[in-house]
Amino acid sequence: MNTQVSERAGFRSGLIAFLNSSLVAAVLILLVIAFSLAAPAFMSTNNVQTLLASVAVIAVLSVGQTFVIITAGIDLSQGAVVGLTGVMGAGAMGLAPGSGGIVLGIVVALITGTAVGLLNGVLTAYTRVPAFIVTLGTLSIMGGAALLVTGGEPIYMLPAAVNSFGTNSVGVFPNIILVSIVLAVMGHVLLGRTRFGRSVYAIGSNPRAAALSGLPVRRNIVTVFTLSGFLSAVGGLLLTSYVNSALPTAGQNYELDSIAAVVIGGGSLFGGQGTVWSSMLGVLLIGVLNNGTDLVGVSSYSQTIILGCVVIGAVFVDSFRKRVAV
Amino acid sequence: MSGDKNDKSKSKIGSQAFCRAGVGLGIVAAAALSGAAAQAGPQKTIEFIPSSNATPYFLREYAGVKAEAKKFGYKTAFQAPSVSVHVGKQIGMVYTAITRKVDGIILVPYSPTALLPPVKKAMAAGIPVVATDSTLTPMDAVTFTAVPNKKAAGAVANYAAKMVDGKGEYAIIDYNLSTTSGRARRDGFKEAMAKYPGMKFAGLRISHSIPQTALNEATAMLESNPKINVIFGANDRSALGVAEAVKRLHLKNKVVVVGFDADLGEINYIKSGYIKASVLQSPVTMGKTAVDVLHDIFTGKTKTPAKYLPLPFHVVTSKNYNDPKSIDAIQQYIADYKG
Repeated sequence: MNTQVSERAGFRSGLIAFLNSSLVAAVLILLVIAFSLAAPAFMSTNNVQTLLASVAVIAVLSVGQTFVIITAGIDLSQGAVVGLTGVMGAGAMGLAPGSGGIVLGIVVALITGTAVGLLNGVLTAYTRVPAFIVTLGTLSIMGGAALLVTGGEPIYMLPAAVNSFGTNSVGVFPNIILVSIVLAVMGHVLLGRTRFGRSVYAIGSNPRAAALSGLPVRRNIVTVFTLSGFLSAVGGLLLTSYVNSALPTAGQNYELDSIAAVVIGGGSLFGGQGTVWSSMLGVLLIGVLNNGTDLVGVSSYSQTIILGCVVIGAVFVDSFRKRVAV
Repeated sequence: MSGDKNDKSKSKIGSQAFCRAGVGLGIVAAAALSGAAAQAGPQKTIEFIPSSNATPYFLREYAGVKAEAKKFGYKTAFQAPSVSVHVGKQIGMVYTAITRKVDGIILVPYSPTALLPPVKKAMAAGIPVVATDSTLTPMDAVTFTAVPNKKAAGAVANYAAKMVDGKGEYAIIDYNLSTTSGRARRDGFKEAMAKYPGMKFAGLRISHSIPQTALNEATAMLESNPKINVIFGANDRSALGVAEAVKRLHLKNKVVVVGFDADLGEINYIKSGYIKASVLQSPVTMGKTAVDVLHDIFTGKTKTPAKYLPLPFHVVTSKNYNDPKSIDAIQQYIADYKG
C-alpha cells in the first residue's frame, strides 16, 4: 500500500520535474494529444512517416546549428550549403555508373560542405569578422555558386537507388529520419559527454575565461563550424534523395528553421546554453505544428504566423522562467 | 524555508508550462472547428496545391477552382508553400492531403520528378490528381491541362522579332527552370528566335518570380550589353521587373519587352508601351477545367480522362488591348477589368 503510494508520488514528482526541465517536451506532448483528437489520421503510420520525413533535413541542420549557437556563433550559410552540396553531389553521381557514382556523389557533397564549414570557422576564429557576417557572406557565395554550377537548372537524372532511399521507410521511420536520428545521437554524446563538448559550452559562456584556462578556443570554433558544414552537406544529400532531384535553391531559408528549432529548444544566441536533445524537441515541435495544422485545415499562410508566435513565445517563457529561478 | 521557496517557484514554472500549452491547445481547438466542418457529410473536397503563393496567377486559378466547385457543390482547400522553392514542403502538402482523405487534388508541380512519388501514392489511394500549368515526368502520369507553353512563347517571340526586323540580340528572364512550364517557355522562345538568322541569344537569368530580382537582372544585362533589343519575361512577375528596368533606363523605344501573363501592373505597362506584347493564358478557365475533369471522374462519367487538355492563349499587344477579345482575356486575370 505504502510503497504503491510513494511510487506513484515518485512518478508524479518525476513527471513534474520533467515538465519543468523541458517545457518544450510538455507542449509537444500536449500538441500531439490535441492533434490526435482533432484529426484521427494524425497518428496513422502514413502521417507519422510524412511528418518525420518533412523534418529530417532540418533535424540534421539543427544538430550542427546547436554546436555553433552554443559557442555564441550562428551559421546562416546552412541553407545555401544544402543547395550547393545537393547539386554537386547529384552532378557527381552522373559521372560514374551505378553505385560507384552514388559513392562519388556522396563524397563530393560531404567534402564540399566540410570545406565551406572550415572556411566559415577559420574566418570566424582568426579574423575579427563576426560569425553572422562571415556566414551571411558564405550564404550568398554558396547560393551563387550553386546557380553557377548548374546554370540555374535542376538536376533530374539521379540513380534510382537514390530516390528509393529517400522515399522508403523502416516501419514508421523514413530512411532519411533514421540518418538524422543516428547523427543526433552522435551529436548529443559529443556535446554532452566529451571534453570537446564541455569546451564548447565553456567557450560560449565566457570565451576569455575559456582561453585563460588553456582551452584551444579558436581551434574548437573552427571544429564547430566545420561540423555544421559537414552536417549541412548530409542535409543536402538527404533533401536530394527525398525530392528526387537537386535544385540549386532547394535549401533556401532552411537555416532559419534550424535556428528556430535550436531557440525553441532553449538554446541561447548569447551562447553557453542548449543541448542537441532539446533542439530535436524544437525540430519536432515545428514539424508537429506544421503537419497538425495542415491536417486540421489551417492555411499555410496562418501556419507561418503560428510558428513565429511559438519562436518568440518560447524564448519569452524561457527568459521569464530563468528570472523566476534566480 | 528555502525548500518552501523552491516549491513555490516550481509550481509557478508548472503553471507557466500549462499556460503555454493552453495557448497551443487554443490554436488546435480553433483549427479543429474549421476542420470538423470540412469532414462533415458526403460533400467532396478538392484541394488546390500550386507551387507557390508568390504569383497572383495561382490565386486567379484558385478563383476558377472555387467557382466551378461551388457549381457542383464541392468544398475546396488551398495549400501552397510560402517560399516557392520549397519543393519539400509541396511534397509534404500532397502527402497530408492524402492523409486528410480529400477527394481530388489539383496540382502545379514545382518539380516534374519530385512530385511523382506523392502523386502516385494519391492515385493508388483512389484520389485523382490533375496537373495544371506544369506537369510531371513521365507526362502521362496524370491528366494535364495548360496552354501549349512552347507554342505560346513562340508566338510572342515572333511578334518581338518582327518588331526589330529580325536583327539584334535577345535575353530571357525566366521564373525558374524547375517547372515544366518554365522550361517550355524558354525552349519555345528560343526555337522561334532560331528562325531569324539575325537574332542572337544574349543570355538567360532567373527571377524566382520576384519582380525586384527580374528588375536587377534585366538592368545588369541591358547595361552590360547594349546590343540587346528584345527581352522576354517568362511570367507575370518576371515581365513586370523587366518592364520596370526598361522604364528606368529610358529604353522604351529601343528595347522590345514581351511577357507572359498579366496583372494590373503589367496591363498598365502594355498600355503605356513598355511591354509590347504578352501571352495571356486563362487562369480561371484552367481552374475550372481541372474541376470539370475531377467532376467527370467523381460522377463516373469517365474513368480515364484525356491525358492533355490544351487551353487557348491570346497575345495582347500595346495596339490591341482595347479589343473585346483582349478585354475578355484580361478579365481572366483581373476580374473587374473594363478596358
